[in-house]
This record gives sequence, structure tokens and C-alpha cells, in this order.
Amino acid sequence: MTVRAVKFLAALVALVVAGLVCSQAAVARSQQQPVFRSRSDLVSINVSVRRGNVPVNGLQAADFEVFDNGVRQNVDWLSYEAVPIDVTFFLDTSPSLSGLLEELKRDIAKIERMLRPTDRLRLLTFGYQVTDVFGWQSAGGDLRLAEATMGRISSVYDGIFLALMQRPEVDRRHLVIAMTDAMDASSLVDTKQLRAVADRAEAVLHVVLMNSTYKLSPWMPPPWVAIPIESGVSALDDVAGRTGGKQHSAMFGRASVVNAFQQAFEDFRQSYILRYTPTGVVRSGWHDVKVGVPGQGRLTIRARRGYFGS
Amino acid sequence: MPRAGVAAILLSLALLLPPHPDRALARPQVPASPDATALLQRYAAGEHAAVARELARVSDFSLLRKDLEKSVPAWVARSPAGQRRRQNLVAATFLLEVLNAGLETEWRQLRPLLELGCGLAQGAGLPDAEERLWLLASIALAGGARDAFLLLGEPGSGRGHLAHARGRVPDEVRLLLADPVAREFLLPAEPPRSGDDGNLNSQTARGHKRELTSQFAKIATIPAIAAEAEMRSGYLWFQLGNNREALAHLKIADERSTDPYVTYLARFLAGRVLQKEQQPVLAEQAYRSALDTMAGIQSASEALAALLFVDGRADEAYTVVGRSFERRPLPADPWRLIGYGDFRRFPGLLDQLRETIK
Repeated sequence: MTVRAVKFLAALVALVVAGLVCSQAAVARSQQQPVFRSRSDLVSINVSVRRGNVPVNGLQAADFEVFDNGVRQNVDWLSYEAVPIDVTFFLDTSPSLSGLLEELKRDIAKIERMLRPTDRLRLLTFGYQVTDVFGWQSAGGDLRLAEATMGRISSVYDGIFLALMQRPEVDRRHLVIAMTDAMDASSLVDTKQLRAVADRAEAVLHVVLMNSTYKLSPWMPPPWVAIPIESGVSALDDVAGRTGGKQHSAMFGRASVVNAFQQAFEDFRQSYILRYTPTGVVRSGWHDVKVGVPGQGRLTIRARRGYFGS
Repeated sequence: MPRAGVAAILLSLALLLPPHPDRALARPQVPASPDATALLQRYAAGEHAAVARELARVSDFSLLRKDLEKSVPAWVARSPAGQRRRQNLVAATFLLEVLNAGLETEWRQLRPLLELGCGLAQGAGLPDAEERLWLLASIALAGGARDAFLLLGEPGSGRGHLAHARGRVPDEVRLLLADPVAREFLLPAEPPRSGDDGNLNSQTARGHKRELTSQFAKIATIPAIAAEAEMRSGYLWFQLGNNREALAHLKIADERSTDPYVTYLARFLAGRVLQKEQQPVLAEQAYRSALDTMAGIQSASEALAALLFVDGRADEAYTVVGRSFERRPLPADPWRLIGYGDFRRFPGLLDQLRETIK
């Protein structure tokens, strides 16, 4: 099915089905708690600093300016590279990406070889539900990629949600790499909930966005599309941005998929971790966080946009 | 549901079916199909699991189907007259194994095997317990394929497999439940999360859903299927946006159910309705009670975790999600199977058939 056909299908489904916009207002309005790591009063921020496409290395804590709700903070801890990384691969195994599945599995094996022995990884996919092909394991283990087969559903948001819902561990960082065409057709969580979770999660999400590529048997039975098809390209871009990650387009062939993988991984590995104890701000509610590196010329700085405090 | 209405929806769905531009790619490069008669012979000798594993590795079902259409009748015909009934049942059950192996990718080309199996399962006289079992298993499997055409009949032509089964075993109450469930296969499941919601087509679908609630209400008087009928009715009312009615039916389903699958769904769906009603505290209770019924199931775990996480209870949310990944293999999620009719019962029915033909 081409992207055009998918859009046509989505439009038709939208026309056929009665509309009840799923309101999760109560969820969104509910009171929030902090997402600090290790100590209840400590905020941890992953910060990517690049000049063009090149990471900027060697910065010190004093080089950074951090504003929490507009109030300058003292960065009291900075780490670069030394912290082990936990990588969750979320591989979209929906029928719309069936044509790429085998190549993507090979790409995961390539990326796995970039990890250090102290790093860990796991792989999430979906069949009838989101499943972990393998749970957390050290780099170099058996990836069991043969077990990742085409699923009957397309729960992209559920997969990313469950990937982000990982209890943070002290002195480890969590990177989620989602490989998807952003075509969701059966998730329980919607983009509004996903954004809310992204605001609170400590993991950094990078989305590798691919073209839908079908390689289906003509004899396949229709799946149960629990929730009509929803294109989430812009939503996932926003969700990734909220975590301090980004969406990488890999819609122009195989090489771009691998490059996008590598870019996401390198971007994360070479990012700084800033920690500070918020001072001069009210603890509760949403905290806007702005990070700058003054005096270094024109840089691209990416970090989570804020956090909820209690 | 009027026949014209069904036909209109079937036509709409036919238009919705996506084209398959990569059909040529879907063909295996190297044909691989085992010898059908040899497999059937091993199956008859009791190698059920081994044969099922072998069938799961078949890459060319078109060859196998053609082979089976010729070899199965011949194999049965060769059996001694005294063993004919058993051999018929063996062959019919074997064909279900083949259909199951190709369910997710090859169903539409394997469907004729179900008709072949149906003829074999049918005894010479009145229906026996084995034929009833085979019919229930075949209907459960067709649910796994969401094959409304096979179950209800092609529009404007003949009766479907369900009508045939009802003719053979009219006292089988699960067939009463299977009818509205198969009609649900023809309708969109849930409303869109955004976009147009007020047009003629959606009104048509809503009208059919209301008719199905009436059909479920009629069969909800039969104790053996009452709870599931109420649960499915509650889900339809939820889809129709009548949350009060949905909660009422889901509550009855919960009270009457003795089946963990139905109880779980009644509670999980009540949680979704309550969430939509902006009652997060009650929704949380509903999700927790669903998980009390079936621990670690992903749908309620995820819905509960989403509520907890945005409520600032991240530790609880992490624990709930962690538990949902603990069991191996992951337990089947009733919510993910609700759209496939009685398919969740297929493994158990197949086991019973295997026992019968030992």
C-alpha cells in the first residue's frame, strides 16, 4: 500500500466512522510529581551540543547556562561519555513496514556492535501486543532477531510509551530509538498521553522515520484495526523533542536509515549530562528549562524542554 | 441487519481494502511445500505437535493447498470402511492445522480447505460430538481471520459457514454469539480520535452497531453466553458514545461472568469508559480490578501506568509496566483478541480435537 493509499484509507475510515474525540483531559490536568533521579531534589538533563553536524566536545560545567523557569541555576555535576547507556530499540513490525523488516534487523545488529560492554540494550516489537524480543542484556549477547516477525497490529504509540516507561537507574542513561513510519492503527495511548509521558520521562527518544514499505502476501486476512489509522509524523517529532531527542528522516533509501541510526546514537552518546538542584523556583508544577552555551558562537543545543516538580 | 445494509458495508470494505503493489515480492523465491500425504499420515499416527511445527515452516501454501485438495479425499478413500469416520475426522482436523499455520498470511487462499474439512467432519447421520467440536473450532479459526464473508456468506450468494453450522447443531449457543460478532467484523471498531465525525456513512455504521446491541440483548437471556453478550454490548455502547449504557452492560457482564477473559474485558473496558468520563480515580480502580483477574496483562497495565505516571506516581507506573513484561511467554491480552471473535478459544478446541482423534 502506498503512502497515498494509506492516506486515502485513513480519510475513508475517518468518513465512515462516527467521531468521538478521545478526551483525556482529566489525565492531563491531574497533579504532577517530579521526575528527579537518585535524589528527590536533583534535576538531570541530557544536553546535545553541536556545531553544524559536529558534536562540541570538552565543555565544562561553567560553560553552561541553565535557566529553570527563567531563574539561572548552578550546574553542580557534568558528565560526558563516561556514563553507561541503556538502549531500547523499538522496531515497528507492522504490516506497513514488512518490506523493510529484515534489513532493519540487520541494522540493529550493526548498531549493537557500536555499544560498549558496559552498555545494555533491549528490543521491543509487536505481534498481537507489544512484546520484548529480548529484555535488558549486555552488548554482545544473542539478539534473537529471528524472533522479530511481522505483527498483526500497528501500535506505534503503545510501543514508544512502554519503551519510555523504564525506571531510571542512577548513573545510567536511557536512549530509546524508535524505527517506524509513524502510522498508528491500534494503540491504547494517544498522542496527547504520549506527550504527557514524554514531558515526564527521563529517557531520550530519537525517532527514525521511514517510508511505509509493504511486502505482504496477497492472501493476508484483514487485521483488527481497533483504532482508525492515525499518522503521527508531526506528533512523534514533537514527542521526541520533548525528551531532548529528535526525529530523523530516513525516507530516502537504505543508507539514510543506517545514517539516521548512527546519528541518533552518536548524538546521545556525545551529549552532556547536567545536574542541578533547583533554587529560587517554586517546586510544584511545570518547569521550563533552557540551556545555553554562551560565548561559543552559533551552536545547536538540544535538551528536554522541562519537567514537572511537586 | 438488513441484507442491503450488509451488502453496502461489504462493498465499502472492499473499497477500503488496500492494494498490494508488492505482490510479486510476496511470492517465495524457492517453493517449499512438504508432501501432503506424508504429513497427513504422520498426523494420523499422532505426531500432532511435530506436524504443526512443520506446517509453520511452509513457505508455499499454494502448492500445499493444491496437493491437499487432491490427496486428502484420496487418502480418506483408501482407509478401511471401519475406520472411515476416524480418518475423516483426522483429515478434517489436519486441515484446520494447515489453515492455522497459514492464518496470518495465507488465509484467503486456504479458505477452500475449510469447506473440504467441513464435509469430512460431517458424519453420515445426525451430528455427533466430534462434528460439533470441529464446527466450533473452525468458526473460532475463521474469527482469527475476521472472515465475515466465510461466516455470513458472500453478499447475494448462498449461506455462510455459520448458517450451515446452526443447521447441523441448532442447540449450540456459541453459534448465536458468533453471528453478531461476525457482523461486527464488517464495522469499524472505534471512532477516530480526530477529524470528521458527522457524515452519512458513520451514521450508517452507528445504526448497524445499535442493531447489534439489540441482537446481543436478545441472546443475553441465555445463561451460558449472557456475560460475553453483555460485555460485547457494553463495548458497542462505548463505541457509540453512550457511556452510561456501556457501564451498565459492563457491570452486568462482570457480575455474571465466570470466565476470566470476559471478566477482565468487562473491567478493562469499564476503565476506558470511566477515563473518557474523566473519572481517573474510578478508572484506576477498574484497571486494577482487571489486573486482579488476570495479572500482568498489557492493556490494563498500560492504561493504568499512563494514569499513574501523569498523576506523578512514576514509581508505581514503572512497577506496573515492569510486571507486564515479567511472565514468559507474555500472557495473551484479551483486549488484543476481542476483535477476533472466538479465536481465543481455538487452541483449547484444537487440543480437544487432537485428543478425540488419538
